Amino acid sequence: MIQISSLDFSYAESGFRLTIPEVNIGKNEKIVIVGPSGTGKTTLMNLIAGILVPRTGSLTIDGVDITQFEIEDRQDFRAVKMGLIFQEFELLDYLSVLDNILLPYRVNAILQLDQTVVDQALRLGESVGLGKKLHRRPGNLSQGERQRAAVCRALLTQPAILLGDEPTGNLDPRNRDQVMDILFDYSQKVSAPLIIITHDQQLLSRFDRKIDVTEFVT
Amino acid sequence: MNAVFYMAWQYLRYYWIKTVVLVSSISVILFLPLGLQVIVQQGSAMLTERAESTPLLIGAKGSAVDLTLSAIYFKQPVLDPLPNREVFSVNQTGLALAIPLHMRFVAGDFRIVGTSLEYLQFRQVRLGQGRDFAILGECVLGATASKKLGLEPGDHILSSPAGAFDVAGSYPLKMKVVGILQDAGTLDDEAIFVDVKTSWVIAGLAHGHMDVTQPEAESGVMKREENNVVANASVLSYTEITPENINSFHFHGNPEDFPLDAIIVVPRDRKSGIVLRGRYEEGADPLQILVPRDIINELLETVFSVRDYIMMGSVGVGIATLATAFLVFMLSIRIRQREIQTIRKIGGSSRRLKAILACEILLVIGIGTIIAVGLTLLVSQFGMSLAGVIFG
Repeated sequence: MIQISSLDFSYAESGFRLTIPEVNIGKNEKIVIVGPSGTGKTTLMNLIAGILVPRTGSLTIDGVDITQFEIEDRQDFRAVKMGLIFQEFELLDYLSVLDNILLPYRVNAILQLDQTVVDQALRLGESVGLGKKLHRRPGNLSQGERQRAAVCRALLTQPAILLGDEPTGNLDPRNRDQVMDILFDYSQKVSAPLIIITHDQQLLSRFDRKIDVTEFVT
Repeated sequence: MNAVFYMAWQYLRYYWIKTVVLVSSISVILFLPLGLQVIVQQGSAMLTERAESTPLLIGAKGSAVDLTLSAIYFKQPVLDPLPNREVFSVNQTGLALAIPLHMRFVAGDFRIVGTSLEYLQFRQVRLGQGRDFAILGECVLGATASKKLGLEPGDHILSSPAGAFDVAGSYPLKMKVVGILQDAGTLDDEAIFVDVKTSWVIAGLAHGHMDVTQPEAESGVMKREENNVVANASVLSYTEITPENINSFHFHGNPEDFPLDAIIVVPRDRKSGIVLRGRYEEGADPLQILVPRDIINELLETVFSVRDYIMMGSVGVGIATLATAFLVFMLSIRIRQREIQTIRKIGGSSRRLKAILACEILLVIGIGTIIAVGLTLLVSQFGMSLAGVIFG
């Protein structure tokens, strides 16, 4: 599903460089990216998401080399194909929980918001235990509830790939397990690769394999 | 609801204090020049219209502006009076109609205008109820004065005393309301019209009292001479003119010398007006003749220059405000970098992001503009009455 080949990326200002000869990630695979801080885990995830573009090499998803896309096309591709979850949840304070879940549909015209989508968002919210809190602001939710809302936002578009940058880094073990269960269930159900960055050793055993980015830093 | 509008609206609604401050600043900065322009335009139109419909004015020498404002807009007269004989003198020339104006007194907040019936015809003010004043002590109320005082034909109104230290005898006079004028939309609506002789009664130049030749007034008689009786204050002076006592009212002195504050002169034609102006301008009389339109135009030129200065100031303040608002938006975008990055990361398009931010700015400017236009419309509807309330 995801093939990275002869990829070379560097930050001009810091001299940091990432060189990846070859990485393949299949459908339904659960991958954990590990490595010490500052070794390029988030950079690798941003490359897979099309947020960053390598200097050379290719990164194909479902046979499409996204490094050849213009920025707008990469944004559209990401909106349609990928679900992203962040450590700090990144919910917008001025939107209700429901509107935060619906956010991808309001920030990219390629996704059409209609009643079916709203119903789907309501169902998702219900399924993660936010049913009665969908009209509250994120500031009125607990950490675990906020991350569940962020997960709903990532899952609403029914993405083909799930990417998580330390999604459980700020959660207690109970909430951590709950969030990870949701992500694993989804990945299993739709055969979507799940790629997660984490420092949590207790989670490592749940993944099929790990990618250590220190191997790619030059 | 359109997604761009929805996102922008949600943001503005959540950060409502910032939105209110920005919207208020923009409304005020737009409203100041707009509202000022409307008020100046309406005010100048009203001033000009009334001045243009008044061909000439005669009054005592002094400030032409004061004379015009008092004769046309019923402001308290400040110039010396002129003698009533000027009315006869103008009429005798056959060049124009002279309409006397005496405006020293008020009843409550409304000026009592002593004049002749020709005034109402000249201003084309029609009666809504009742009849014109005909005899001493009768008055006709302007539409607004009637409404505010709650008076109708048959009611009475008391003139206000001229002052606690006025020993000349300007007693309050109880006047009978005999007519109400139709709403003319001019300052005539706010006046009380009486015959000029009634004004002189209020001024104490004419009065009525008990018949001192009768036995019941004997106790007040101090001295009897061949043609004159001297009485003290115990002889009852009438404060109301009734059919029973009207014959006792009499003038002291020569009516030709009685005071007027101004004379409206309506020339038969343009040439007559020029001839009449020539006579007064060349004469050595302590009088002046003037064209109200010219005086008001001069006054308005001053008003317009003040307005222009304010407008220039407003433009400067406006530019500064818009620059500040721009800065606020720019800073806001910097503060929101993380939010913008999140939206980009989850697939938000740059075009949609720009549209949302632009929509926020347009909404603030739009709401500010709508409020400014609304305020300007309010001012255009009620501004003059509001100015009247504020400035009396």
